[in-house]
Amino acid sequence: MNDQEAAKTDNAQAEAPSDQPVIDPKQTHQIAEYKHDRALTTCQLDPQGRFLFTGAEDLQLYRWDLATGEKTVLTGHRSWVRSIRFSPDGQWCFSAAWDGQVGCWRTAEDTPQAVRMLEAHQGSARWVDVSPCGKLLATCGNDKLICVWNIEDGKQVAQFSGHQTHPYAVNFHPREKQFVSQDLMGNIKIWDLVKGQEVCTIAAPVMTGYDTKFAADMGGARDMQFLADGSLLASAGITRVVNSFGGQQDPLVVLVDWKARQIIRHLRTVDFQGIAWGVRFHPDGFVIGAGAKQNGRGALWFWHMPDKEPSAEDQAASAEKPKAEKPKVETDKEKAARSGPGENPELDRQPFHTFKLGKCARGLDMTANAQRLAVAHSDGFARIYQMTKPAEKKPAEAATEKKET
Amino acid sequence: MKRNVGCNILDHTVSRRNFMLGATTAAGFGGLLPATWAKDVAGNQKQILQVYLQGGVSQLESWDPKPGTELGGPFLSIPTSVPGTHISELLPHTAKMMHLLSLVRSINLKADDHSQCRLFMEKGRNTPFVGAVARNTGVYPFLGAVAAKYLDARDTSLPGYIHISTRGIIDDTAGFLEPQYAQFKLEGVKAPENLDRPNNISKKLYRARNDLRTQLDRQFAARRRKSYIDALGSSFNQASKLMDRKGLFEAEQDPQDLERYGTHDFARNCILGRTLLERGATCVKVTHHGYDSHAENFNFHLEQLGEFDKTFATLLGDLEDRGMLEHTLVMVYSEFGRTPKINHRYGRDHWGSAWSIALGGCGIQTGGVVGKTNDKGTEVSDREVHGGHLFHTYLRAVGIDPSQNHDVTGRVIPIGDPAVEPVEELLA
Repeated sequence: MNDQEAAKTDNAQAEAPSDQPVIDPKQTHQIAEYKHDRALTTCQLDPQGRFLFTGAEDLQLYRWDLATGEKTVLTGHRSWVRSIRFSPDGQWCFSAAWDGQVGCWRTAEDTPQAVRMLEAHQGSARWVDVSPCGKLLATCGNDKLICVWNIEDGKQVAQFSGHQTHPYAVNFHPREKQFVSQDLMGNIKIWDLVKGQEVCTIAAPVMTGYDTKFAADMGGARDMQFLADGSLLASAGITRVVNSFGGQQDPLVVLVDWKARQIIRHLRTVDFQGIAWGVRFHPDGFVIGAGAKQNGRGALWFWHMPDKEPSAEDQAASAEKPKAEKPKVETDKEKAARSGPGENPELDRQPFHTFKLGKCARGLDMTANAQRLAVAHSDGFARIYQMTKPAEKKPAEAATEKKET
Repeated sequence: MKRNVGCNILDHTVSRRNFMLGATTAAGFGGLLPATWAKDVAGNQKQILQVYLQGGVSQLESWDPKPGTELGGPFLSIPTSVPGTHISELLPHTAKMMHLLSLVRSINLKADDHSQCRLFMEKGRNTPFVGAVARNTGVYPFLGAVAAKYLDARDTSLPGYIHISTRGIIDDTAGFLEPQYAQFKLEGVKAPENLDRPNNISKKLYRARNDLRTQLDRQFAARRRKSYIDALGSSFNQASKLMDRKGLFEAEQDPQDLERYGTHDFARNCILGRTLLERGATCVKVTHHGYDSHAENFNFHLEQLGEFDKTFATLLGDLEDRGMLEHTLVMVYSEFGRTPKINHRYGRDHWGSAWSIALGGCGIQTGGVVGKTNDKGTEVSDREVHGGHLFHTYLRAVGIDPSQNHDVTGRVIPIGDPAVEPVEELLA
């Protein structure tokens, strides 16, 4: 099967014009998939809605035409691509890779060649983000540095140091001349672009844990996003480390109140040990997370935004109860082994809906019309999920299906 | 095997001819290690430093990188001080010291179990197991215990085999050897527990108690095998000596050392390890935990090898600067490596089939690479070796002939597995 054939469902639906159907996370369903032969590492949709770009456990960046399923291979990196971002107008694509390089590509070129490969970091380049004005890039890497680059000439314009452990992600504030970075130990640093210095550090110890058995730390941001107005920052990662070497920790998304410089929510999950690898704000007032479960499966979670949360009574009445699967009974040893802050009823929230995924999610993005989600999976597939009611089948199709059955 | 002419020569190795002569005349029992020979070896002050990367360090993220290949992972490789030899980019400091080490990239233990593989690597034996419980290998001694017995004939106040680890793994390390050769466990840079004389016992009373015990031991020994009482007496004597040297374990470490080695536990443990070797300990094992990365293999190796690399390279440099590599065998090893296949958790699982270790110092031909794996790292493609071959090699490097026998209260037991040979290319 070739790549185009592999895009076997209705790819045209993936970014088709819509007559504004009602967004309902409980109607989430898969509408398309794009097959690659290696596990994917991340994904990003271009702002114009034409392409999905993915990284994989190989040396290439991949572009998928959402309408046709056509795959284009972008070569130039020497290691896995970890992070992808676009310029606001969608003309440029940027990729950060474990080789320490950040690639600059023309998004829509027939076969994009790297216009520039920035030698961004000594050791892996973990993350790249584009400033709202589209003129600057921020990157972070395993040299523990945060670097800011001029996109036009590829020159470094600023360098920030201060993280004591590896920074995992960076994100520009959408309205202020500041940006954030978060490291292994959960520390979120706010940097001022004009003054060229750190503004403050917001500690998020809930997002890191020390594995007492194996004597090592685990934590850090696996994805970050600001709300469009900049009032909230979401960071996806982990919490409650039990045995992180075996994948036993819980996923977590924290929400930070930008003005108050304070964590205001711990968005948790039910019966799920693993990592939250993606987070997006939905304009209808909920937060979407994507994660990978220890056993190889995944999930999309949907949490209310803080200002849209139902009252406690409503929440209790409508809360999704875990299905009657055999509940996991935590041993005393496991309880004792948990490190880092535990539950905090004032901050903790559970999702109002969980959509189970067959395979681990390793990256998440949302289409510009906020109807669909793109997920990079560990089985090599990028899948598109729609958050609206599935289209009614035409009577003829239904009859055919019934006959075949 | 690429030879490095700058390697150390094992100047004082007892020749096989001399050894056999001593064996037949002193013991009157062909093949047993005679006491005179043991002292001769000990006089040369051979020592062993074991750096144990517990849990199974990934060969692909350390000694045998395959960047850009299907299963190679995201990290790149870097050149080393040995032309043509590349190791993982996660080991930049060690890369500069590779001329002091040799790599074995072709280990196949034919097993993937922590306990089974650890025992194989430590004891050089791999007898079939029932479940997870050793049936026969349980009685064989660890390398450190063998070294403590045959290399540590000096009147030292330190135990012969000291293991510094922040976590407890309980093993019968002495096996059928006398218990005084078992590992002496230190949980970091602090004195062992219960080393102080109780406050309510005066020095005078303490001496009197010891004298009484010694007298009773003599009477007891008259009707029993000498070795039983020797082991008991040796334990008491060592405890007394350790009480006098308590400060050695808890002394504040030199700030300059901490700056060079690092301030984390592994760095502090390595500084203590160096001190213990300088003070005459025969075998010092320093364990660095955190390599059993079934999940997040790459992030964990970045963090763990980040700790290991600078510290180990500094330690190796110090041993070289102080002339200690001439008489100290250095081993960097695990119980196994990690699968080339990357699982859905970004992890690598247990893999004893094609992995690597590093050796250097006394008796080792440095700057070389023995064996290789195929392009994907899934199989040994040249010069396959296992724990038995390596056990022979370690002993030969410090001048102990593994083809000889232990005398265990009259029973003759081969020191190394008689079915295998050392890796001759590794030996200087």
